[in-house]
Amino acid sequence: MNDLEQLKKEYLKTEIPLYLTTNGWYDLKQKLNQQESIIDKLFKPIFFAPVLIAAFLLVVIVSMFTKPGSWLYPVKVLSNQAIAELSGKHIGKTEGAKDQDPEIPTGQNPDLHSINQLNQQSPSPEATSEPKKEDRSQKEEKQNPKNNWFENLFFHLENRNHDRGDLQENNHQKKQ
Amino acid sequence: MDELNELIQKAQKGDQEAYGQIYRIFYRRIFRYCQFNTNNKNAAQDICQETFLKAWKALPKFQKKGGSLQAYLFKIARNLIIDASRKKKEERLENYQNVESDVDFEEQLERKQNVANVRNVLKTLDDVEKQIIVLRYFEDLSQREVATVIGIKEGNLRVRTHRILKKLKIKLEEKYE
Repeated sequence: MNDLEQLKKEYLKTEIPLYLTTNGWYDLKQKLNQQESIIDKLFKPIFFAPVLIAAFLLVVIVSMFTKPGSWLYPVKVLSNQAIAELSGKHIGKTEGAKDQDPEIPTGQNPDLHSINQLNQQSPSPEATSEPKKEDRSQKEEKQNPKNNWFENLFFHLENRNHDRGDLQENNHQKKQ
Repeated sequence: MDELNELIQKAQKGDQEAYGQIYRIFYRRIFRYCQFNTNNKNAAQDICQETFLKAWKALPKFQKKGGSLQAYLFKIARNLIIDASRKKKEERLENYQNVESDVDFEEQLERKQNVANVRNVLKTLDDVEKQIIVLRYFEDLSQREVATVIGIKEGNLRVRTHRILKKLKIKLEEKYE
């Protein structure tokens, strides 16, 4: 084992460079500081998480001022739904919901709903033949206050068809 | 030892001054180890600095259960030496004819001094055997620490150490007779 001791002494004679003794730590310290650059700090979870949350909130806030058609509008709809579900009550309505009739169930097209309503209210001309004119005027009185251009147009077309049907029936009776 | 533990804990929290003190405790040993294995002063210097840089990065994950800090540093240094030797081999294959001319005079002189005798004696051993002798008997690491650095089990290390010492004894007797 004395030989190993001798070898150890020779090994320990290895000269340490002056650079490491004088500047080694200072150079290393500079490298350590370079490592922790702004980019590294930004991507540390503790710094990155608030940035991410702030960005998310900004998008939600900006989406509140958007109108249908904007790419942020779905965010607005989703955030409103989330707020409504979390708070348990509807805070605001989306643009589409503002025009919606309160009677119309959600998720149903308002135009389709009005057509269905009209179909229910106005039976077919074959079913009721005599009180047509009275019914029509009553319907017009009922429906006009709604002031819906689509419904007006629908009634106008329907009335014209009924008038044509009446004329044809009259001509047929005259011929007979 | 308690002082070193305190320094480690401070450095783990990001205290650079504490890490500076750790550097001052270990840099000589790490450099010596690198110098012995690379036989190149500049490469040893770079690997030594790189070892401490890597250790700083990994320090928050360092746990004492996995071994001591010195074993941890020697392990990083060993891995870096292996990487460097691989690169050097590739370079040698590329610049086969210029290998000897690239070695500067200072290094040639150093090769003849200091560790030349040690290297001559140990050159009959394979790489792992050399590491065992250097770390266990020259750097005074414990068996557990050596096993951690080399990546073998303690029992295996004991057996290998016994064999190496027998082998060395014969070699040294031949040399000094």
